[in-house]
Amino acid sequence: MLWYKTWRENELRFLISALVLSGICTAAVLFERMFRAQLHATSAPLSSYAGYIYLRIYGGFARGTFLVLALVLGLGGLQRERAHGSTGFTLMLPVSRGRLTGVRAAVGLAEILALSLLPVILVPGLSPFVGESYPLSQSLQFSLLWVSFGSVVFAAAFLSSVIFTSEYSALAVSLAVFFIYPLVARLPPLRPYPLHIHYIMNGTGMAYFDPRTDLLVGPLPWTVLAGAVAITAALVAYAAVLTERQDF
Amino acid sequence: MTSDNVIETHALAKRYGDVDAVHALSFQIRGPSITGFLGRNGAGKSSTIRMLLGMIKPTAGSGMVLGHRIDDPKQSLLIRRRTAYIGEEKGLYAYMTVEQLVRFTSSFYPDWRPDIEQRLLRMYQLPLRRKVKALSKGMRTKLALLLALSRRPALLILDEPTEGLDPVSIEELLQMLTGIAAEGTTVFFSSHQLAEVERIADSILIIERGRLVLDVSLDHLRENYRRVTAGFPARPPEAEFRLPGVERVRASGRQITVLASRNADAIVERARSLSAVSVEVEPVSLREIFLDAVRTDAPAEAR
Amino acid sequence: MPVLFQGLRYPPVAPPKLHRWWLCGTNRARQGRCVGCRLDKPKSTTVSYQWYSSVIFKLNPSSGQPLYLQLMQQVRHAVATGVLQDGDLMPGIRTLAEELVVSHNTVAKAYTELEHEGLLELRHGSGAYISAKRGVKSRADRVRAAQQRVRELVNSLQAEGLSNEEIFRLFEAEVLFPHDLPPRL
Repeated sequence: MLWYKTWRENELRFLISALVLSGICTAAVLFERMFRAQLHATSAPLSSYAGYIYLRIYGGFARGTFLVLALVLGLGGLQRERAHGSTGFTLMLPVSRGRLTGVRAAVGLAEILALSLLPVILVPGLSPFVGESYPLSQSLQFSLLWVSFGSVVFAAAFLSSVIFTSEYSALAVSLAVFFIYPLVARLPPLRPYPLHIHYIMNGTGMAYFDPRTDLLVGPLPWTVLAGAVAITAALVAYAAVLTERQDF
Repeated sequence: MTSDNVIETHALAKRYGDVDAVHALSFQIRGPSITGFLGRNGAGKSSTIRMLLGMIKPTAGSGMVLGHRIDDPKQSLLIRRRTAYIGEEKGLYAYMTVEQLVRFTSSFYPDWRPDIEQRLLRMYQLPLRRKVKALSKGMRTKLALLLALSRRPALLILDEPTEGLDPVSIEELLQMLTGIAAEGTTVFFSSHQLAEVERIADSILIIERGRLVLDVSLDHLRENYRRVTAGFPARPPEAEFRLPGVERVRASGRQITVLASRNADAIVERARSLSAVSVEVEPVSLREIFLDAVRTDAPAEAR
Repeated sequence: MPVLFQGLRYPPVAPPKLHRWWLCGTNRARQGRCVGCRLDKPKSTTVSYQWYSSVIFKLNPSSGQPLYLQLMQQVRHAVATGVLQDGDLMPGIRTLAEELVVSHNTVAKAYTELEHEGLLELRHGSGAYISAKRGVKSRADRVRAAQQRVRELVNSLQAEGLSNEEIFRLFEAEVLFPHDLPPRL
């Protein structure tokens, strides 16, 4: 039943996130002609439908939105309950704090997974309506990239939600880190390392991405993905340890 | 440490920075009984309760609840399985309906009693489909009580349970507390309502700025605490009244008032031997004792 | 007032098997079935209960006397005045504690002490009964009973032909000098 409570706590956030992301994907596919005409007028012509999808969804706007949503989903938890005065009730339940944290992380990560699968359903599913097609395998591979790094962003926000007493400071700090981090990752001494999550996710300058076709080619960077999973696990574990030690 | 005690603490302490929230607190509570936990705001009542329930960790000292150590997370789990707590805010999940919250809570306790749950639901006339956030404070308290009592806890801890309730709800709550105590649940509650405590409690603990200042059974208190007021023809010698059991001597003009925790007879005797013209012995209410207990340290606060 | 004690029993009590005069406010136990004993109707029963128990027991938390002593005194007083009589079933510890809104330990202590005094008989499983057969029976009752016996004796002595003067002297001698030899008439 802890799952139920956790789900109820961020049900609304998740549904809004899902709605926003589906809206972006659906609009991008269904109004493809209109958007492409606009793009045509303002910038260099797009070579293909895949290029258009990459621009709207996997490369840019939708992906960025997804990460912000992942960040928002990471907030909440006991600190938020403190503001609502229900910590006493939650902490009296005969469950350990570790379990409280674990269940919240698990529900959040499941939601990240669900969000990242939305384009997999929507993009290849809706493309035939506009007389186009988009390969499912491409969508799946991009989703894998999304879910790995969405989890990292989620876990970072999750940790900040445990550390900061106010939910607003947790949000502010997470957002600040979210926007400053890519700048740091682009500093010359760090450039050789696979640290820039935006570039890893959209393949900019990566061997597994072909910028001419805007499609993923070759094997995904499995070690980097494994690293993302490990970082997620470490952040969540640290959050659990902190929660266990907290006084309230 | 004996297993007879429902709660026992040894030199329990909690420090926040350089503030001693709780200092060297040692007490024992045997069950089943009703204990009132008294003190002014910020005296350390909530900190003590939260330490007992494993929500905050003691800086020093130790404590046992129902035979389990309070500072061990695993044992704290065992404590919480058999203890119910109703906090001051009665904070419950605002987004759940009454029914959802009851289902949610019941899932954590294998010893949940659906029969009690049903009876209490009917008695309290709680609207099952209403969201918790739409309940009045009285209703929320009843719901919290229902969640606590439907599993027959061995220990029920309440923080200011009557705070914000109307007189009818207060009466109902007190009656409920006496009822469950008679069923074998030990009740430990903090309150500012001394008259309520005086009615239902077996014994009281008074803490002031983190220190225990009084730990006494109310029967003992009623039997032994007396205020002796004596009038004298001349200004009386205060020092003559520093007898064992005398808690406080106050002289005003030719009258002297002695608050005694025992030994009232000897004080009367002393007053007579000093040729008092009038001697009056009165019982002392809990209110007076409380005010006296927390006022004793008042000058220290000014420092 | 009627709503004050409505629906408060914890845990809910099973319908009583026995008549409980303190619950229904009637005293028809000795005359058979009591129609007032219906816990299913808390409105009527608890209100009269409250009325009844407040008539009999009123505890004052700040009177300077332990509550259990106050309760004991009030039970004794009720027995002396005949409000409580031999064989009356007292409320259970929990019930009375709840009604008086005092700790059960208070009631339990009073009951135990009263049992030591012989005024209360605690029967396991069925409750606490007033036991006022000997010693504690009200003085008025005992005098009344003695009067009856004396009257019978006087009547029979008169029938045997003794004069009132002789009977009076016999009684006087018996009370004043019980160990002396019987007076010669």
